[in-house]
Amino acid sequence: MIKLDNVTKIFGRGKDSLTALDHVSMNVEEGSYLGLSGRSGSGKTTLLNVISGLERATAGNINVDGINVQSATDGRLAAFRNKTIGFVFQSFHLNDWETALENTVLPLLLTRTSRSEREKLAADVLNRLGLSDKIDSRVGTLSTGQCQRVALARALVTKPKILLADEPTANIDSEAENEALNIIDELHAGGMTIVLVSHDPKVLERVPRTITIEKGRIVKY
Amino acid sequence: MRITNLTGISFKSISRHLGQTLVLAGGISVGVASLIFLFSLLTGVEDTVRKRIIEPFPETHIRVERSLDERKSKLFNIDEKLIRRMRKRPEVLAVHPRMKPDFPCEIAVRIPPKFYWVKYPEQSLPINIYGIEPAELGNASDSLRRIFENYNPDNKRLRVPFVINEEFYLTLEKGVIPEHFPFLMKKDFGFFSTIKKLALKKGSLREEFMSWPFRADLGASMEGAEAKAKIEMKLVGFSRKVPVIGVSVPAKALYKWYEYYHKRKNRPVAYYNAVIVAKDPTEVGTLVKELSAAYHITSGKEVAEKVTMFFRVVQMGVTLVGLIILILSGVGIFLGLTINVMVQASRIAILRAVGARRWDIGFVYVFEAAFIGLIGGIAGVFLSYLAMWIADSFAVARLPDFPLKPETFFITPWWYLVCAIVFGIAIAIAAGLPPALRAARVNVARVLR
Repeated sequence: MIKLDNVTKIFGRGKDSLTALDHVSMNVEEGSYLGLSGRSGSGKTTLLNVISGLERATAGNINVDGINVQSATDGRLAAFRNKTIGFVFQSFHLNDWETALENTVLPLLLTRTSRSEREKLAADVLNRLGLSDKIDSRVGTLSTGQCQRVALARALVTKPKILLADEPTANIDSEAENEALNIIDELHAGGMTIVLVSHDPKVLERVPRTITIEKGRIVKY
Repeated sequence: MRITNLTGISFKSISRHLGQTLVLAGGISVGVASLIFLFSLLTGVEDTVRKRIIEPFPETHIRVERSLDERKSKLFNIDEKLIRRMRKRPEVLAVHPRMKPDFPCEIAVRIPPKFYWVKYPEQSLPINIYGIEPAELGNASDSLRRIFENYNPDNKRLRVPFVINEEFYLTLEKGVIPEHFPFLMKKDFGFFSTIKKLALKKGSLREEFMSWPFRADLGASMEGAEAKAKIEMKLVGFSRKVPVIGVSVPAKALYKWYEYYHKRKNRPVAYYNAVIVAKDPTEVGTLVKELSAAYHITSGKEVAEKVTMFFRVVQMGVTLVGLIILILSGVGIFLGLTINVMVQASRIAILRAVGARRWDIGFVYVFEAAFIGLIGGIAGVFLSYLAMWIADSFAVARLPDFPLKPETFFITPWWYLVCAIVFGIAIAIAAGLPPALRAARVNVARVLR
């Protein structure tokens, strides 16, 4: 499903350059659940970004679900992110002045889905994540755990094949963390490919397979 | 569907920053309103000038006069020889000499039941009598020209027809003459005061005016000399082709009066000025070159060219001023949207992360700019109409009335409004492009870290 071959990412040029990924090669099978661990600045988030095409690798090949991410056009990558990838971020990046439904529906605005269909799909996902009573609530009024679930709903609303979660539990309490991880477990059980970045050993304990990155290199596979 | 959804995203951003949007649109509206106001004013003034200066004096016409100094020393100074010579020229269509009587000649009018002498013991009246050829009435109504052409000065039963300038009549109708010429009202100057009263009372003087009896008193002077003869006059119409101040009678009438007054058969052999009509505007240059050595020449073509040149220069200036105002408004939009892009970097990055192309992000911001331009443009149209209404109201209330004062100083063709709105939108889009490009190039990975 995800295949990286000798991927290198260097930020900057000359003396000030920083190698974030250094000849990384890995293979993630379809339906697998992979954890990425490592210290801050080790290259975990950069790895997620090059997988999703948000950043271009300096060298190497990246193939995700049959798409060559390195050579794909902006339009192709955008469609790929919309249909194949679901993103969950550490700090949610939700629009506080919008409702849970309006936030969730955002990826569908970039598709040819009708308004009624969009709202139905978004409401279904929010219901599934236990937010049926918060659909029309402004995100600014929700707890951090609920916000994380809204962020998850936004990532899942297009029914992606892959979920990329970057420190999804870093900003929430333990109860909410448990809820979020349970949801991710369910998604994995449903056949979704999941790549989860965390530096929390408790979180990584629940992940079947974990890769450790240090200074841009895979040190434990 | 996708475009509709992207415009929906734009509208959300607009509603989120409604106050800022209105301020930015306000800037554009001022620019658009300025453009419409200035162009409408220019068009209104140009239209007035064209109707009152250029149209009565087409580009095939050349007015021949002596220089100002020579005119002071002699009343009749365009001689018969020039008229005859010009009439023989193949490129000349017609020659219209214009005369003035060289003897006292006053007009009296009876406004029933009172009879007014249009004379004043202490003041000389600015009423001249001109003799004109019927052809000089140009495009005046056929019936008016027929009366002039068929006038027979030997037929005592036919009263002498005369015309007055249409514009001058309109100022009479508005009753503004007394205010503009207060010296006429120092004493009981019944004619104008009665006209003003009638104008205020009836609204239109035309029919009333045409029915009044007029009389020319030949030999009567402002200083009190008795008239040698009284000739019944008949106002037959109004024309823009005759001098503004004064009355115009057929040239034949003046010849007759001259014979009567001077007791001589030979009519005047020289004229006050002459209008030479060329067959084609291209012939005007040759004639002007030939005549300008001895005479002061005013050609319709030259006047038209000067007026056109003047208005084109002013138009360029006005365009420049309007564009500067619009560009300043555009700078406002640029700054406003740039701040929006910086503030909304996270939202832009999320959109990119969930599947928006760079083009989509650019479109969202360009559409927002265009919408601001559209709202500003429409508001600018209303603002310009308000400004024009205020300016016209101010002109009516504060500017002194004067002859030929237009009803409105503004003419606004519909396409001015369309162009101004399009300009507003174009400037807004141009100003919105750099922030839109900046938004499209947001470093998603860095923002979402």
